[in-house]
Amino acid sequence: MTEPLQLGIAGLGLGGLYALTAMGFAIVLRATRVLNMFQAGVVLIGGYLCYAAHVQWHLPFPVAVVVAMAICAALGALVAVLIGARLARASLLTSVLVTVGLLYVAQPVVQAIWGDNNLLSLDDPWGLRQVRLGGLQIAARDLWLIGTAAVVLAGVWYLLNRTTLGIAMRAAASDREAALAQGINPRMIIGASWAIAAALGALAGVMSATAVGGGVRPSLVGVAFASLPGMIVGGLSSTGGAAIGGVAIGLIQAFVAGYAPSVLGAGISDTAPYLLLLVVLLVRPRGLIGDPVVRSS
Amino acid sequence: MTTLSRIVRCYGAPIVVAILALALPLNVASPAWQSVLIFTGIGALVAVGLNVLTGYAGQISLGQAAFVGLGAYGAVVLGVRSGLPLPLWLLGATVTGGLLGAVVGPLALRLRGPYLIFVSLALLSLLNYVASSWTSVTGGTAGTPATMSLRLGGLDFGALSLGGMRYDLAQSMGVLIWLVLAVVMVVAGHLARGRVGRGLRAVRGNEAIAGSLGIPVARYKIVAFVFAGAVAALAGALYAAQAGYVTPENFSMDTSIEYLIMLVVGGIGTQVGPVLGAFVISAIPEILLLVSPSLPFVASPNSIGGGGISVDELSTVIYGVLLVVVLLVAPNGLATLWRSRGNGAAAALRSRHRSRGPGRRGDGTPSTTPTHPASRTTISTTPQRSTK
Repeated sequence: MTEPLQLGIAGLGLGGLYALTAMGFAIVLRATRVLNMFQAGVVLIGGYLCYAAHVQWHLPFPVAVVVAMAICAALGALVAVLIGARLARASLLTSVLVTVGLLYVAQPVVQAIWGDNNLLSLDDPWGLRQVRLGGLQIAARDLWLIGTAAVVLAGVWYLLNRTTLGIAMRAAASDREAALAQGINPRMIIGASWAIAAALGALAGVMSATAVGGGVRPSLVGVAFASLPGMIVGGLSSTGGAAIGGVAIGLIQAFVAGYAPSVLGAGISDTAPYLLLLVVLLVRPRGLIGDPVVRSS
Repeated sequence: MTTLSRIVRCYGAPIVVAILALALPLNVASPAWQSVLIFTGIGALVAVGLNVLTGYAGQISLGQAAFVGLGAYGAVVLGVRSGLPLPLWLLGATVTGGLLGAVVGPLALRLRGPYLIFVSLALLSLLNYVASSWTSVTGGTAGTPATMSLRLGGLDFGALSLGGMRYDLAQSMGVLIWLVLAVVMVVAGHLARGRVGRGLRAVRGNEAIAGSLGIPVARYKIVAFVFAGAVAALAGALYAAQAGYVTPENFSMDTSIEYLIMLVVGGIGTQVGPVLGAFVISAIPEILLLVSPSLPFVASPNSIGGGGISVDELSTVIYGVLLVVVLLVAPNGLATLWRSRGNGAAAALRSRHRSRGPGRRGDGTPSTTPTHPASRTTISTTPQRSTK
């Protein structure tokens, strides 16, 4: 009886991670039409920066998290300033491959600085501690992750819907020409999008680098890629859709891992989000909350 | 255009490749460069297919490695478990790739925008799952030996015996792979110059107008999917044969991206581009290895621990730098750097890749008006380049 709830909480935790990274992808994609594969690199960098700040420079953990997010946001803004405008004008193939290129540069650099072993510990305050809530055993990190992700995503929602910058970003996403005609500064949009996406990615990286998440490791990049199906499931045309899709993916993975018969093998929980993606594309291409998709001939 | 110049234009590259197939592998003695040759050949095969899919049909696939894997495991099933001879397992693997392409094509085509990227990633995930879990057929994560028959007529491509000399597996397979590459390049060239290629070029100019001219857009795009899938599977089968062993790890997103890098660095929409790009990408790790003693920050292959950046990692960095630099400086690859701009269809392809214009909406759906000057001229310029 408690098992579905336990799986649900774990799934929500995972979903929070995926929601953060998927939002990062979605914000840059919608505002600048760039599928920014470097987001995976930011997740990696964020995790390692937090490790550096907390374990190596001995800053308190919350400060280290903020430092990691801030440095990553600055990094995102730097990339945006250097090539963001060119990428926005380029073809999708170019933007995908250039951002992959950035990722390919970042990964070995991170490994050269911090080494490539999987044994680094973030020394986060939660460790593997579990909390008893109403008969359930929940990882303390998961509680914090769900809470933090909810707060951060609410903040992003507020930014996109109630601030001038956010509305400008949404305007640029829905009709670029009209937005430019209204005097919206494209450089600011691009810079802000990349910076926000990077901050979200860094937070996801920190949370994923915790003891529960698996530690500070080179494979942190996988977290971002795993959240990609969430964008389709939630709806490519909606930023909120990415968050919802990310949560859905997390839940799916948790429940499939928990309930799938062993004959299906261990990899089924990694593949299940992609199966869901294919089903969604066949049955409801717009995703859960997206706009109807224009069919081609 | 004289007949000779037409032959050179159409068949020059494949002929050179065929000559290289006979000249190079048998004369290269060092195993390191032999493997560069082999990976160049296999990568070029996949890149030629991708060239048609991306360059002509405009579809971005991050999952070609799934087709390669399908071909590799298919070849194992047909060649090892069923013991079929070389022509049959090679053909069978190719056909499975084409079939999968025919299935995936309509799905990806229903939707505009970056959807194929996600579908191709889904395919990759599925392949990895099946390869890792269907242990009885694929050997699971440990992999399976790929020791199929390599005889064709009187030739044994496992150990060629020509003119009194005996050649080993790497050299013999090198010949086979490059010969197959030459043939595939000829087919790709015909596809690009023929009705399908011209139709797809018209579509890249303006899909609505092309459709209204009676061009069966969807059907031609599906042809591109089938071709790209078949060729990638063919490459996978050959890869399995020369490696002698297949594991799921061989077919990852990194592998898919490598093929895209080869294509993009070499030159989209050109005949030579895929081969050139494949060579550059395959040669880089080897060149780094040769040069590494004189680079202070590079860890030598024998040192353990943080002695610097390893050759593998440095290769990855260089791929990344190449991608960023080449794409921002020469978005259509190295092969196009010296091409003249007014080259009709090729120029239209390039300008299409370079800018999408202001008329596209945020969710990826293009507006219906043509947005780029090249799009208005493409339809009228394509027929003149066609060959009889």
